[in-house]
Amino acid sequence: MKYFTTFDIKNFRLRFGTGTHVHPYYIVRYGPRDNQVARSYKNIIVLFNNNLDASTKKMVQMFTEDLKNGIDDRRIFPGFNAIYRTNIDIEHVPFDLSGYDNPEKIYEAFKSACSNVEKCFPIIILPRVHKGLYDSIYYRTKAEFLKHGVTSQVFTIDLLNDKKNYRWSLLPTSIQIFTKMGGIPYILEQGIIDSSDIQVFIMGLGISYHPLYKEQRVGYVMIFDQSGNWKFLEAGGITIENTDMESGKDVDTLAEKIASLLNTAITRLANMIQTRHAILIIHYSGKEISSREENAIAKALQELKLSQKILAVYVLKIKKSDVAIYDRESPFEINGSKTGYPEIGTVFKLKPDVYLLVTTGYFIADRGEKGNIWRGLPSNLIISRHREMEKMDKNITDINDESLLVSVFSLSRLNYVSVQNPVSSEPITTRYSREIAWLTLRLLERKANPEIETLRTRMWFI
Amino acid sequence: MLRECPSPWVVSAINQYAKSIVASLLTRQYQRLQEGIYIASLEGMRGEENVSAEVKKALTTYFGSREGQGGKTPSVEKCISELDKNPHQIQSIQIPSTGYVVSNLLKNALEKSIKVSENRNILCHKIGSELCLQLEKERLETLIPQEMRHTEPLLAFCNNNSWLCGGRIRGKEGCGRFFKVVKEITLRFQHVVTENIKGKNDERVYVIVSSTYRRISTLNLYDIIDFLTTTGKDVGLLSGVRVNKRLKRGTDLCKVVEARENQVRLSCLSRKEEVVDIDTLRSLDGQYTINPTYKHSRDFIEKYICDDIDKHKDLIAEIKRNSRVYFEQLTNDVKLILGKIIPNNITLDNVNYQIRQEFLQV
Repeated sequence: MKYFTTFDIKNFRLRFGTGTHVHPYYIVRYGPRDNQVARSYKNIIVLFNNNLDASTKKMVQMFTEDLKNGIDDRRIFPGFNAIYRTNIDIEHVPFDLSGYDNPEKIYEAFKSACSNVEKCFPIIILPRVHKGLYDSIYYRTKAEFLKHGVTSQVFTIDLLNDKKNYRWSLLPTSIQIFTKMGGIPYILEQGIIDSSDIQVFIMGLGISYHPLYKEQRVGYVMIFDQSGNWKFLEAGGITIENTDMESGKDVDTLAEKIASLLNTAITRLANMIQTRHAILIIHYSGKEISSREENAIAKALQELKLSQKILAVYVLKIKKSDVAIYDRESPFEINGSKTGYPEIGTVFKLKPDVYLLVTTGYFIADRGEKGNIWRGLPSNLIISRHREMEKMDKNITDINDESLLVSVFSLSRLNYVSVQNPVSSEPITTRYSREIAWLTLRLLERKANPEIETLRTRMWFI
Repeated sequence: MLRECPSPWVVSAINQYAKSIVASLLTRQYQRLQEGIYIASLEGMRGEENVSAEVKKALTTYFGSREGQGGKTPSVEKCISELDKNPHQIQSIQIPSTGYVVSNLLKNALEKSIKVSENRNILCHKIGSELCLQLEKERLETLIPQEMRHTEPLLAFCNNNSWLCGGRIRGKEGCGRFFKVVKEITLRFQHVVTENIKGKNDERVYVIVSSTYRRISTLNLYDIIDFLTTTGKDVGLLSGVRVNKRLKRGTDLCKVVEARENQVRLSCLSRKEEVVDIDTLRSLDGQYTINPTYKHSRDFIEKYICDDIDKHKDLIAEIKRNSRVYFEQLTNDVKLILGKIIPNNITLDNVNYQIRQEFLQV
């Protein structure tokens, strides 16, 4: 194992509407990268339970006003329309529920308040629940809205009543809403390859289990361009028969389903390629993945045929690592005490084609060191390049490992959820595998129409 | 691939039941190593006269253990006959002693050596390439000399909260019966290749150690009902509590609709509603357990079973405050287990591996 390189976040600036900066919160000054789709929205509707106590209801009212008009400190949040250059009316609407066990009623309240659901965006006030609960009101409500093709934002009662964090949560919440409306808040200033002749696309690929039934899985494929412009998502359920699992045929069935997902995505992608050639970098999530899934992915990629436009496919497996890194010389201190945190973006080479990338620790963007964690252990990713799964036209020059690692670090910069954090612990391509899987499973259980366009074109899962 | 003898089964059989050999499955070609099952012998373990006989014996025990678990189990005779018909598939080869496959073989060898030692009770189940050890307060006290006990935060924790470490204290009976906080150390072998200054590859295997504290819960529904009854509480308090029902494949999530002393009515995600009587619950040990993650379950546990089930999180926060603090704790933990729980040496196929307490510095 040895030191390989360090990606300095100052070289990974974000591009907003009218400027660039290292920090995501500069969206307040420079506006969003693209608001074309989001501008078609007419209303944001804040849905709340009429049985909430009086003080929480008052907070709902204040939240609605704050989203509309911003707060006193305009640098923190000047209002939704002011940031995103939109003209959306924001109002709150009650629903009547004695508990939170009936998400259909919440959707009904939304529908009655909105003449055209395609032009309304719901924010639903719900109690805070553990994100690891498959059967929680959070997932059930989101699935109910998605079933009707409506993306939604949940805002918790706890956060409404949290005086310390409430005002800091307005900007990140608004970024999530804007993204789910189809807007692009910011992208990366620079791509991976500087060429007008070749386009680079990055694909997130993952398989997740049903949290309760092992024979059910969900596979997904999502595509970004090399600047982080969102393209689309394809996701689908994969059910494996018990007999297949016993006989070992499940790998074939899985491979077949993944190949079908990949082919659909690549056909769709080929239509988006404007240059003569394109290359594809696949990030596949190593979460929840065993050798069965890995073999299935390898088999599916073997079947993949390069189109006339896509000249090369590179494959990286990305997994959260259990290696603890302690930097004896770390300058980052908290309350005068040394932390030992490593610098974000540091890469170590474990062996040929296997790297360790630090995604939490400290960074220097402007003045002094700052951390994207304040306590706890820093995390890092193990990234393995799988050359045996790659495909390459003989006329194309190989991309080196460093450029492929740049694709992972770049997409870890695309954090549309917490703007205070300039680097996520994992890239956007693999970060949401559980949300995509659980919501897709719920949609399958509810027999939702798989052709709903929103499910492909919006980042409903963030 | 053998039809009647799926490779993962052969590997499981060897690792679980063979006495003197361990196995690792390579599912794809890796550098110069072909896909297949790699077997190595363990020094100091007496098994059958040769590898083939050892594999067959392990397979016979393994197939026997699968009977009655449901699903289709091919016959052991067919499996063994298939192995015998393909002698060309079994060959003796030399692999690099620091190669990728070795890291898995070492893990399996270590696990096997702990299983046959007096430390077998501290092994905990974990899927994948990690080996997990759980150490209770009493075990820690035997491992750490008196003058060094201040280096282990769990001991101070257990002195102050004995009911969370297995102690039975009046008013805290639920904690002692259903929960126990332990130290958990996880080990994994990582294969690493570094190009040295002469441009040649230097291969090594590192042991990756991580450490945390865990609250072990044994929330069998039967035992909970028994506890409520014996402490004079209403069994009906269980209404709304979430219960995991273990299935052959996976888990069903159920909600207690109604609970009485002699039966429980459950409504499950699989859309089934079922009534389970108390005798069935007693006989199906561990099949129905309370899922403590859901709010209603947690409220129930905190109110009627044990009110400080999250106290161990302070311990975790203490050792994982930052990299520096964690590194110091980890140094103590490695001292704690090396030579006492995990051996300093492992010999595989006459190659001696030494585990040394040296942290990797880059």
